[in-house]
Amino acid sequence: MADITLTVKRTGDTDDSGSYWQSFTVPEIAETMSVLDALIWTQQNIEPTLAFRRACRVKMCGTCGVRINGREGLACGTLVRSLVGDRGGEVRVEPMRHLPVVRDLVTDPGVFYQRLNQVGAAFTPKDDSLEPAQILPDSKERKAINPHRECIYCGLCYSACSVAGLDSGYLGPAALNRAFALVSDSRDGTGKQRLQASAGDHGIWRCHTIFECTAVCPKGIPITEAIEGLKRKVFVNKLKSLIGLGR
Amino acid sequence: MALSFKALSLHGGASLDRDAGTRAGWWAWFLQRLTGVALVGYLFLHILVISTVQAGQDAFDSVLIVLQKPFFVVLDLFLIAAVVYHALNGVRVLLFDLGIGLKRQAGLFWVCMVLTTILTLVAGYFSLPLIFRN
Amino acid sequence: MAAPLTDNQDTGVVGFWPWFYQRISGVLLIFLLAVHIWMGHFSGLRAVIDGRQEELVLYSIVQQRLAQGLFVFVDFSLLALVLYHGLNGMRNIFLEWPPAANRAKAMTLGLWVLGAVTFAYGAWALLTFIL
Repeated sequence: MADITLTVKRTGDTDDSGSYWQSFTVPEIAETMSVLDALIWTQQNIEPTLAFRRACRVKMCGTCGVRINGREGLACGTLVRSLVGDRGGEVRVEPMRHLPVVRDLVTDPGVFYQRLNQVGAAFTPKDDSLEPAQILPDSKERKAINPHRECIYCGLCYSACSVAGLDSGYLGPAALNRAFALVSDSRDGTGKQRLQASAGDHGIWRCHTIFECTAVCPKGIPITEAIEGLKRKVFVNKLKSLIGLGR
Repeated sequence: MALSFKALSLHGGASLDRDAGTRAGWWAWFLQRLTGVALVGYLFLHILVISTVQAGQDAFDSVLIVLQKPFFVVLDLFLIAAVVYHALNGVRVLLFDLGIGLKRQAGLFWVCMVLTTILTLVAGYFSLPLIFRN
Repeated sequence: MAAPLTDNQDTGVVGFWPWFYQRISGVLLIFLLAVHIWMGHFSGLRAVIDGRQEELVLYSIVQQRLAQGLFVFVDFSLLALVLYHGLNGMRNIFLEWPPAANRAKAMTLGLWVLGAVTFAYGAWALLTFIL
């Protein structure tokens, strides 16, 4: 059971001082110790001022998103041994990107939620819908949507996305993934506006299939597929309107 | 009890291809941009070169003779590599737009790299002997 | 604080058509470039024309190639499409750090002008061989 070195990017104490890295020696509490375990141990035993978010600790709530050894991940879902094996080593933790840092590892997700609102993240039923909706579990529609419903809004995809880094107004993977799930849902009544919102200046056309989002999603959602699906939907609609079948 | 620590880590695994930390998707995009910019630069040079025909046949020929010297033949192979990579990755992106191959995106990037290498070597096989003839 | 669904700042700057035409032109370019590179440098055409292998590409050879309608078509199409594809690609890169809408439109216009001028210049060169 080797000790690990937990190195955390911390915020300076005053407005002028920038960020700095601080290292802590953390014992390996258990073989299945997670990065979150290391953070909590450090906070309880060495540095009570260490700031980080966490809640469920079982990869369900999406609260503990950070960057670990240069890669986005949930602190609770990243096992120390998967990073450094059983011989100890360094684990570097820093806050998610593309969001304002409140302190240490805590970021302000306001912008992230705003992007979701811009595509209308809430389901809105059609006015003339039959009650109850009849979509069978093994239907094509349900199968197409299912993977994209798993989102826990952790923001890791938004942090990982290079395009979000260049364009702070980019809607981002999570919002577009949600838009796709709802646009594909035959019960939803706002599909047309959602598609339009997705296809604006800061939407789907900025995605360059870099796949950073898909690579880091803790729920394994094929996010790039969702965005590509939206592009295809816009294409088909354009074709239809050109031929005269537009809606 | 052998625990697979990688498997217990953050990957949900719905996609067959979780990039395995190689950042293949990023390199594909970056190289597409790099080759694209290089090719636009080359394009303007190429048009300028061909336009030396305005100065007459002899002027044109003297420029072209220089540009087919060994140094430029080798440079042309880099050009071929850039064009081939850009075209192949372009096809890769087009496949994604058509909904094909998204779960194997990193693998497709490596296919592009391998094919680019092979085709550039083939081009070299046909063009490098010319250095020794002229 | 939440932006409503219909508050969509779409000025059409980053849109469907540039994305679409980049793919169309790209696919066409694969074929046109393959013909262009093959005929220019790798085929036995020179041997057929001159009876000699591995001849240098010179004025006479270019002129003979462009005496054939097919290659005139290929070269003019290539010039137009490669300029579109290349400058559209550059436009994509410039838009990555999003400029203000009016700057974006000015930049787009500038690229169209550059493309048109370059096409005219290249066409002039081609016509010099043909006429």
